[in-house]
Amino acid sequence: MKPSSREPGEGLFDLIEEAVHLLRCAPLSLHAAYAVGALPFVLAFLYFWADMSRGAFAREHAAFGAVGMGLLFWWMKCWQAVFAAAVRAQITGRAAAPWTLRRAGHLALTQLALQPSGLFAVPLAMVTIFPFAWVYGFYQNLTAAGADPVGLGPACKTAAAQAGHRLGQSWLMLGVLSLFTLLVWLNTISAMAILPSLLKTLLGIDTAFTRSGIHSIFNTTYFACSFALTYLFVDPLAKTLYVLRCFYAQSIHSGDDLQADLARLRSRALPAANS
Amino acid sequence: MPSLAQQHCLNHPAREAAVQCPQCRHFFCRECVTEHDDRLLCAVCLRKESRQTGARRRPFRALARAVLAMGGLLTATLFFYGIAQALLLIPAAWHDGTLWKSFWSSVQ
Repeated sequence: MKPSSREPGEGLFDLIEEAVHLLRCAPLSLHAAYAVGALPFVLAFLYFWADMSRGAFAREHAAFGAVGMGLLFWWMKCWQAVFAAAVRAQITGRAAAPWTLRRAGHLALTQLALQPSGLFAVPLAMVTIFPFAWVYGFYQNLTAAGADPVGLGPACKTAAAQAGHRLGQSWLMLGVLSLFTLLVWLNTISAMAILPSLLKTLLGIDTAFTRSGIHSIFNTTYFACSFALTYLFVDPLAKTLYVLRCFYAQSIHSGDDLQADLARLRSRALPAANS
Repeated sequence: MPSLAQQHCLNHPAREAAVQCPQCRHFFCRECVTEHDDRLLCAVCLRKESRQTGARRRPFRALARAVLAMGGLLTATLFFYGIAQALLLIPAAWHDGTLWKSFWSSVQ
């Protein structure tokens, strides 16, 4: 047996199952928190993409558009950290800490100061391959622990330590996530291609897509739309997986996983005892 | 001066003292002191110390935070500006699919 497989913590497929279960059982408010951040960014990004690829005056307002995209990226990251905090509260079974002005300010600062570097670091790590799992994990962990009111230095230190935790599992998880993302993208782009034809065949509704035929598919905006939709479908799962990884990594020292299990057992036992 | 062995904790009179706080010189049991900068301080002195340290660092910390935040926004802006420039460089035939249209007709 390799040393890495003896390391404490949950197995990869248990982790994936738990993440899917958490998302399925999650209240609507949790999904809404994600959507509030991600939807404006994705819609603005698609508009930005279409404008820069076709707009007659695109060159003149490229800088202004880039500032807007930067702000919306920050907005999305903040809400993703809120989503991660809510997922964490669901895992532990404890009520999430109240949102004070200080906590919100800290979250906004952490996400604005640290996350944008990931826009360059993650693609660079992807090209160089070897540090990818660590770098990607680091930025996901910053989101996962973004709502904790600690300083920027401790937040980086914790995220780095957790990114290095069970690196083998992290690589395997990225492999599974990549495969899943590819399948979701194939499904999305197939649905996008087939839906207009189905609308025409079944309901007789003619759209620009059916009129253009195959040429409506082979343009960059169409592909950008399919990637954006795939991101919206897959990213909540990726975030939940990294929140779980961070939770189990911290539990080795804090025993939080045992407390969460006990709280769960207690909540099941109380109604049974009362009845 | 009475020795440590004869003293009792200021907060828990029933307990024997284990430590003398170097700031206020009062005696405390082991539970009432915390290690800070290699010294064992009582809760009151620790609170004073951290308040003073916080006040000393605050102007620089605020400035550093502002610089980091601006740096973050600038980094994100640069990234999206780079994307915009890359999109502007790509020929229009590629964006609107006419490139594929000519390829498709040549195949047919």
